[in-house]
Amino acid sequence: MADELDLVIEKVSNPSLLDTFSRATKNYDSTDKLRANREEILLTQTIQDAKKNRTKIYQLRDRKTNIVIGLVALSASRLDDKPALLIDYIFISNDYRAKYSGVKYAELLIVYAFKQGLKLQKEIGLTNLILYPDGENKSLVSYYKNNYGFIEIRKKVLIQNKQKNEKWLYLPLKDK
Amino acid sequence: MAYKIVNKKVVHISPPNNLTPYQSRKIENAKAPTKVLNLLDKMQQQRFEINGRRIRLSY
Repeated sequence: MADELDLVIEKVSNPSLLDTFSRATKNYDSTDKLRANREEILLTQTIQDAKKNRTKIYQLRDRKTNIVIGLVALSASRLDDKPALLIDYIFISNDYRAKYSGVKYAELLIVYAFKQGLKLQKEIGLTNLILYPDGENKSLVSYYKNNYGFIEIRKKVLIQNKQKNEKWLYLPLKDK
Repeated sequence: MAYKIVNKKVVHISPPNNLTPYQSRKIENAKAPTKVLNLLDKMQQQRFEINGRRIRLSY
């Protein structure tokens, strides 16, 4: 059996330290340039928002190699006008995605976000954990629903004078 | 501060508010997410396996 992985999820207190990480093209999708470009745009924006204290980034790091495997960004938000915890962005570096590594590292970050939601709920009002799946990608939406029990909710929005539905996903912050 | 890319630019978007009574009831009555709670139990043991890989996790 392969060696045990020694991982840590920790808050990034200085988001500028992630600038180098976000500039490393090897971290993005190696097979789809368009997707890689989207990922870079979103990660750069997330880091910028973290610098302005609009979101907090938690990184998943391999303690043996000191390599950052991925990150999740969390912020306060509202769903149905009730306080909620929002996953702004989840990112896993290309080589560590399940199709290459065989390990669903994103799962650790999703469950960690849920755990943080439950913990915060004891201190402040929070009802749900929410996220917006990038591009409302059908397979991504199904993945979140089937593997973690996320529930879909639609928001009516006007885009170029046409009414459309944005697909959001939420998990109730309940432990029984 | 969720994000959406529109015409190659990032737009900040907000979760749904002003929902229909049906949608509100659906959210209110949603049950605890068993799958995530099971994963959380596993993760809290700090040493566990994912897809056959042994993991030690601290946070």
